[in-house]
Amino acid sequence: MAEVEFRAVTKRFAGDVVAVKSMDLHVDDGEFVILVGPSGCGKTTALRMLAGLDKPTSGELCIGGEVINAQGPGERDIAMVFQNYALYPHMSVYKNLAYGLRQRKMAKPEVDRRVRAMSETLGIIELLDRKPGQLSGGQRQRVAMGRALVREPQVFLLDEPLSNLDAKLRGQVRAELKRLHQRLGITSIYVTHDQVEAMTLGDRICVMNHGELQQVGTPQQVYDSPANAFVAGFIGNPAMNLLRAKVVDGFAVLGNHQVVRAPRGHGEVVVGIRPEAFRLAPPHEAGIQAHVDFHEPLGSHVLVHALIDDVVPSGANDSGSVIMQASPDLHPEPGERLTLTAAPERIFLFDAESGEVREVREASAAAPSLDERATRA
Amino acid sequence: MATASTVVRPRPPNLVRRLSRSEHVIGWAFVTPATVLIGIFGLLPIGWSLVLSFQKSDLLTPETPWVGLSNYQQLAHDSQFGSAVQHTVIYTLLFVPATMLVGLVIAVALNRNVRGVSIYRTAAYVTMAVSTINEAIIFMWLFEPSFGVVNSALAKVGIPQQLWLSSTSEALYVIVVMTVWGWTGFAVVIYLAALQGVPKELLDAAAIDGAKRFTAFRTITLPLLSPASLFLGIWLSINALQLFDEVYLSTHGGPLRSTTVVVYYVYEQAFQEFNAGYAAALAYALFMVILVATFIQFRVGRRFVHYSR
Amino acid sequence: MTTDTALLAPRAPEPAEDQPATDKPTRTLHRPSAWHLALIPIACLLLLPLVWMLMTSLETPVETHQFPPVLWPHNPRWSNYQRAVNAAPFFRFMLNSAFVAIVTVVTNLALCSIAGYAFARLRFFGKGLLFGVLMATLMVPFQVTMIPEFLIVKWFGVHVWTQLGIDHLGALIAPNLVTALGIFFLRQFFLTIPVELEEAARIDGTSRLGVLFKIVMPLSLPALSTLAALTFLDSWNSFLWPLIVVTAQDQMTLPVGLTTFQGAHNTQWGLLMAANVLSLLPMLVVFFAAQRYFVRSVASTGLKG
Repeated sequence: MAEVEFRAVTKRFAGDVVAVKSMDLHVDDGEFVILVGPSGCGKTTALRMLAGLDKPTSGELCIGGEVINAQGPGERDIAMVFQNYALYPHMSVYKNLAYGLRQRKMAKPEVDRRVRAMSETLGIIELLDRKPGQLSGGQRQRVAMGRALVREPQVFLLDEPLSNLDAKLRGQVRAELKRLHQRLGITSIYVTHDQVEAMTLGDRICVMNHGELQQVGTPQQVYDSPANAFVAGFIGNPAMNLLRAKVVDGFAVLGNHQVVRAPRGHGEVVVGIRPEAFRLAPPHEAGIQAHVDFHEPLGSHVLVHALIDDVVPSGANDSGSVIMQASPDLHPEPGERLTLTAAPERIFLFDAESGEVREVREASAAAPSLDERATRA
Repeated sequence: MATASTVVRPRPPNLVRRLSRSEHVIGWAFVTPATVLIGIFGLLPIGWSLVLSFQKSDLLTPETPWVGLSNYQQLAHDSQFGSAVQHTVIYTLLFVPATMLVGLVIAVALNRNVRGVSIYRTAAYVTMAVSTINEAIIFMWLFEPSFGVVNSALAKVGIPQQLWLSSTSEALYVIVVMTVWGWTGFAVVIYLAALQGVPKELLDAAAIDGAKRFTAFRTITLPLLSPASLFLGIWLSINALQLFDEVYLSTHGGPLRSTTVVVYYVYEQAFQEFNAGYAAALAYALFMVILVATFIQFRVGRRFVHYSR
Repeated sequence: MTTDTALLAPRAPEPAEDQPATDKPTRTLHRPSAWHLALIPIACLLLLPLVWMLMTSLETPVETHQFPPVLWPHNPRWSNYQRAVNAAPFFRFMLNSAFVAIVTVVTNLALCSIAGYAFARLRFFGKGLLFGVLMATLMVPFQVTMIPEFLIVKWFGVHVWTQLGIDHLGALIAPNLVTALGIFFLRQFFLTIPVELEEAARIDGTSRLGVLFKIVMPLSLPALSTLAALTFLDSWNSFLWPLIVVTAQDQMTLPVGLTTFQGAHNTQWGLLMAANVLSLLPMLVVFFAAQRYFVRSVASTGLKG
């Protein structure tokens, strides 16, 4: 059984830099888990601790139910793909693949069999005699994966393996990775800063920031129900619109518009609406008044950047500008007036200070929609 | 008025100005001082030395009769030269590997970001600032048979006193020790720089692949150090074959010529025996040996040295 | 790694930046590490000869003739230094060495840079051949050229200018005014400077020489200081050539002066060590002040591997 567990794992570096704060995570056998977050959030440190390359300051790391803190990287039966591949430049591809097996005193015929089988699977069999310096980026990446997988490890660790590939190759390799995982079923932990990779590859995603796990869940869960403003703003492309709003008379108000009910609120909240949640209010209906700033046509849809009328900019990231994802039939002109609306269940409220989600919005007949309120007001 | 059938060539502007803009002239102007100097003090002597090797000269009188190949014939049968060659070769074969080994070991020890490591590194580099003469005098004192610290340290362990630089069998080895010490700083700098060029990720990958520390060093780090090793091997050999200063100061080639190395012999012949022609022939012979030794090392090195991109 | 990369890096050998700036703080350990246990003996062993020299320089003749040797002089005999200075003109020796070294460094920097620049950037007839010939001289060891150089310098002293002749400092400087190695070194460095900078200046009307001095040289300070350090060290410690050329004591450089001193006082170890310390001091001071350049100069020659 190759389940992985982090129990209150903390890593403090010299100078009181806490890279990972008391991380608790359980990964099931065969699961593909992604650690995602911005640079410096602690994801790579967490991975390296699991690999045995860094020692945790406190806490326990377990593989297969066994605490492995005391074991060296070579004893944990894990394999890792590095961001820069870390292929041994002076050895042929064959030797690179065989290295780990030879270190474990495997017999030559068996080594040969495994190396060739893995090379077939990864499509690098013609490259066996070449040196890494003679390979392209994509080929090197495959050799790096081959070197890890040929050992048939219990746990497979990947540290941003696609970040050095160009966009097209990245898509291809992503697909191959997914296929490989379906075939081999090895417990995998994958670190990336790219939320698209995270969403497409992971069985579950762990969003991290400042050394702490913000939320753990399936891609859809994290997308549909973000635990806080950070997760909401990090997952989803383009990012969720997060706007500061005052709470007046029990409603969150953006500019002059009562956007949604905020029953427990007073003071300020952060309103979150995804670009794809916006729609244009039907004529004669109330909504958020805005005017178009510019638009970005993407073929299958258009991203309209608009500025909410009568909003006083209240800080660097909050100038009242929103992005709306619309169908390509829309041809907005700069300055054109728009009335925007969104279903209440797709509007999030976050605490202005802590970022924690305040309401779990649900579609219900009792909650007034924007349209109703507009007619009422 | 120009007719259709003639082409009027514009008069060239001031010749000097045109020349001064010409890249050829400027280029030559820039290299001329250096070329003249290297010509006088480099090329001319190289050629002259060759000519001298076919002559008999005593450096004082202007007469230098031509003697053809007799200088070279002489050196082929000269037993003193043979001994000098032998001493030089033994010295080189001991000095070069020893310096490389010491340099490597120390560089590995210094390749850590421990607090205060720069102090230790400075201590290692310091030997580069010590001149050959300083070094020779210090070691003459350390190995002084009657009062030197080496003998007294040996005495404490029960080993009898040695004559060191006064002994025909030991003097050359003392010179090996002192020059290894003198060159350690250089070797450490080279190896440390090379070690720091080995990406740490490679050692991480090796650790995950199950390689123990020393195995990883042997199979990953050492091969990646091979360009530095080749360079050191060649550079140290070239210098070893030209050993002179320490021999001159500490033993004057003795005792009983046991430390006479080739360059010392050349010096003797040219400036003490006044056989300049013969000395020139000896020098050319040394030149050839250095050339061949370097070439061989280079070729052999190419097969084993890995240059990572 | 090439010479160019090492020269362009403004610092002495430091950990390679091989990892992207991800969430990995520096790995410097700040607790006292067990590694000191290994490093201290090594440092001690390396420095032992120098320390022993220092100790001995303060001992009386009686103490130096003790066996087993005295570990610490009972009464540090600073007068050894006074005697050394009285017995031989060490300050004169240092002055001579300094003069020769400084002039050599200055001329090398000047002449090697214009020649190196020409080889790097200008096109002129015979450039390739000339460069090849000059570099070929690097392969010939000093012993081959020293005898004719002696004769040349002697001739110069008699027929051109006495200061260049035997027993004069000029004879020590002249053969080393330019080195092919210096030209090679600077040429390699100049090649790494983006041509566009020079082209922009030329379009603005700067002359070739102007481009060299106003654009290229300021950008080449690391390489120039490295060359200066190397040349200085080489000149200061040079022995065989001064030995051959200078026999008059007041024209001797430090290594030669020290050798004759040793010959005269070869059993007075305390005195000898004091003289040794005196001779070593200037170079040590320069070394500590410019350590970075020395280290880089050596590392870059090795890395071009």
